[in-house]
Amino acid sequence: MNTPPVIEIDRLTKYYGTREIVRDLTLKVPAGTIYGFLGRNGMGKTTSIRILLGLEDPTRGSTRVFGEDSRTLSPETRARIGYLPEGHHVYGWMTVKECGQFQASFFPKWNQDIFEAVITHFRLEPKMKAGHLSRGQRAGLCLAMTLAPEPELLVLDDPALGLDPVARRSLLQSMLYVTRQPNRTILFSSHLLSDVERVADRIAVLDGGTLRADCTVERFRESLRHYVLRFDSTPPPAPSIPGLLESFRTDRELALTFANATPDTEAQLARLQPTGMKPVEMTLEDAFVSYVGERGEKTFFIRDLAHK
Amino acid sequence: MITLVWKELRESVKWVALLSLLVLGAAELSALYPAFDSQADSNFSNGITLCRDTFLTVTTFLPPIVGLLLGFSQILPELERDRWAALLHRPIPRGRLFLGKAIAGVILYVVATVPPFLFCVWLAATPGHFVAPFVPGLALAGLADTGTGLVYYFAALLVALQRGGGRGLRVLPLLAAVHVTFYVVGASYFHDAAWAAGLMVLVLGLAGWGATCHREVFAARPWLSRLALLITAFYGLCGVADLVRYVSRAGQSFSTTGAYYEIAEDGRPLRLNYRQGVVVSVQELDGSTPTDPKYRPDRVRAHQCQLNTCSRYIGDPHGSRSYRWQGPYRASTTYLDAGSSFSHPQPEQWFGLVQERTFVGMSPKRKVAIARLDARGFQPPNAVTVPFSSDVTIRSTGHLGSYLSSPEGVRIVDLPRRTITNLTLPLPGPVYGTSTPWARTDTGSVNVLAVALAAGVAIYDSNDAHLLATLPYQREVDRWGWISVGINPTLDRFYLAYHPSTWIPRKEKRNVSSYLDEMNAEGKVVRSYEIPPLPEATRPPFWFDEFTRRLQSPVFYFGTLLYEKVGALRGDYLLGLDWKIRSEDNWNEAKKTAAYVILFSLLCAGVTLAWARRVHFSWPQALRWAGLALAFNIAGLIAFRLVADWPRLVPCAACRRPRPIDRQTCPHCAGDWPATTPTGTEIFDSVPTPETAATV
Repeated sequence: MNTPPVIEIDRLTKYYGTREIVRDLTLKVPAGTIYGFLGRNGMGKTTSIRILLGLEDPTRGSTRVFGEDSRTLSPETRARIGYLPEGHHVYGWMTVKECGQFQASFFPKWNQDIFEAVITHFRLEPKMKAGHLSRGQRAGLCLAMTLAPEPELLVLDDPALGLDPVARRSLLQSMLYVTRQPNRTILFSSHLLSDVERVADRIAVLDGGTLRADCTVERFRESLRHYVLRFDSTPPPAPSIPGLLESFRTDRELALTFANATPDTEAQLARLQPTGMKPVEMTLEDAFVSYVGERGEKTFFIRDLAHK
Repeated sequence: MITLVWKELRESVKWVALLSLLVLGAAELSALYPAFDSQADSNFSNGITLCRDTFLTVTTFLPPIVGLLLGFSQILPELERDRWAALLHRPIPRGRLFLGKAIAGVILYVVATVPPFLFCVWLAATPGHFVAPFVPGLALAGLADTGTGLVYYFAALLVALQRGGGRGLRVLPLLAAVHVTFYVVGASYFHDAAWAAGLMVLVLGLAGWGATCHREVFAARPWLSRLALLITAFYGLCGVADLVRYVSRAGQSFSTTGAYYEIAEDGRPLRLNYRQGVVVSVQELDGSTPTDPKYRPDRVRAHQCQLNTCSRYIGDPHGSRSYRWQGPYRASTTYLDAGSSFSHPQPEQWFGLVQERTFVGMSPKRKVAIARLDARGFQPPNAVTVPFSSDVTIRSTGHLGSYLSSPEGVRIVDLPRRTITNLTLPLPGPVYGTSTPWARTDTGSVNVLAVALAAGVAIYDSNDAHLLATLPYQREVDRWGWISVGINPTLDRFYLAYHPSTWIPRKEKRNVSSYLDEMNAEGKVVRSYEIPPLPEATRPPFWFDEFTRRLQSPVFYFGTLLYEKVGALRGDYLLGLDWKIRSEDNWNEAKKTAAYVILFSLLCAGVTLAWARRVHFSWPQALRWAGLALAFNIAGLIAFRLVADWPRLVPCAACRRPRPIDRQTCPHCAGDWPATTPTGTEIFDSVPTPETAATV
């Protein structure tokens, strides 16, 4: 059955002043998908999410959630969307219990069991003052408040930002808890690939405000290739080959990362006449860093150090 | 929404509301009690209890500060990006979010400002605290000021919420509130002040609601909110005008030039020419300069005989009536007339209750009422009083103490002895007015009581109320019924000045002479003078008033004319007076102003239209803004600059000319935005649709 996508972003463009933040972003998130929204800081992830939720106005283009224009989201639709902003804001003077009660008063549906399960997972006591919580505990409390209304769409804006590994893991576990529910859609932004790898079905990568990848995690990993070419002498500069993301030149090696490498790519590399050429397996983290990192050639020569 | 109100109350009650309550309470109490200037204030010249200058200064400034603090403290901490986003994302309409905040804010404001004020009212109303009776009207000024603070609260909400538009738009709500303060302080009636504050609260509230819905884009807000923001901008600009006028007029209160007549010590009229309140030359009626050095400009005021207005008309064949202007609602004299005070047989301070039309005597020591005077005579302090009829006035004069005047007669009131004596009139009534002329003597002054009757003026000694003289009218008092009376220090000469009656149109009065008769005690005219009319006092045109007069909104200008005309037709005295002044006396000036207003409005509309098209507003948008400028003149033009969503322009990649970023095609070359050039590194799972292929 052809179900309409939960999120539709159509040629979204956003300017702050005359600075273009997001450019012609088009994206569809089908129901039941866990979507990782990736990109370096300042690439437009948060802005896109805020426009998606009707918190900011787009400069051009449109966004729709559950088929409703984001600019005029009804309260009923907003009740179906759980949103966890990156600051993990809570009212410091409230207790954990009061935070839950306050949040519950706005939502037509509230699952106290989920709320209690998540706060227990983060070792929170109902009587604890929210202002006295650690950053990780605060994130847990926010997550509990976001999950308890049992939203159909969960939008998490860099939920692990600033958390230590333990807190991050706890957050992800709680998130996975909710993903067990059928037909639950999650869009979460992050710049930590290890988090994404664990949970996401698909990823969308924003770079310079433009969408550069929209695929499954496997496809993304497969599409990136890393080659190390050995030379007897100083390696030649990296050739201009389509799909080249970055190159790294040392005294005897030339390391190249490609997106969408084809057999023709290897043939072109062979024309550089290296003494050895081997494809190297990349972790998703490495692949992502190469993908969104600085373009162009980087060099590292021992002789340069010697001159200095 | 209840939880939202609860949250707002919890957040601000301690550090904003309660702290404000304490500070405001302390300030109002210290201003209410004349601790430092009790001597200076013994004659109540600085106002009475809740209308004291110091108290009103506090109520004018502090409630607005409380309002601002509350408004900003409710919004600014919440505006931190994600906190605001989390709040807005909650599934309730944004209007209800704003309403929740506003309800909590109003509750907090009431908690902070009303108890201290009510405590002050209680102090003023309870015997034993002040040497003054309490009438509810005394509390109106403070009440209006407390209400005005709410305008500042909503202005602060809007300032904090507003984003986008010109930078000046952030300040305009505050300036609109300042304009309301100017209006409230200067209004004649409490209901005018209350309406102004209430309407501005409504306008700012609606604008704030719109800013909550869409902080950046003006056009995306509900139409009612857009209208409210435009009204806010307009009144904000009025606030700017108020401030500029206030600052630039400082120290220029005596900027008029003119002339008036005074009577010299020897009884002849002198013309005194003044400029900015200073006598600059003295002339005889023939235009010559007096030779006696005591009539030099710098001395003449010490050697003149005062003329006091006794009546404004005699007989009333033209149906003119005396309009009783009760005074502005902020002045204690509107409610209480601080009258006689004496110490024998016991210290007493008497007050006239202006609106109740009775009188009350207070004990300065015990600060309680000790007697009342009403239409039945003296009454015990707690008696139910019967008011005097509306045409009765009470005045004080010399040793006579006080006297009650009405068309039927004059009664001398001996307050210490609690007696009332009817004054025997030498001529038939009715009484058209009274005055208390006085003359300076070597040892002090002499006072008399003058009573204007149908056929002449009766002069009584103020010490024992015996008749000094009866002065029959020598002129046609139907037309020259505005009569002023003067005396000489030896009380053997009396001066009656006859001016055109009050009902004679002002334009006609400008060309009518007045007369002065010097009479003796037998009522015989000793000398007589015809006093030629004087040119009206002129005030040099004040540049800012000229500027604002020409640039005022045609809607308001012609609307005011219509309002005055309709008011005049319906018989409203004040509106009729305004219309009369404008239409009869200054009609040419009114026409000239109308021409300027129309001309400048057209000019502003043209500039707005050209400007809007130049920066790529669409024709309908540009026409709408030009229409606003046509209706509101320069204010409309400035509002366009500050409020409109100005298209941001970037160079077009194809034609290099500026194009608005929010439109899909270039207005010059109709080109679309250039597609992102593929780099070969894009990774897409599915076969991209043609649309995505063009964009990614």
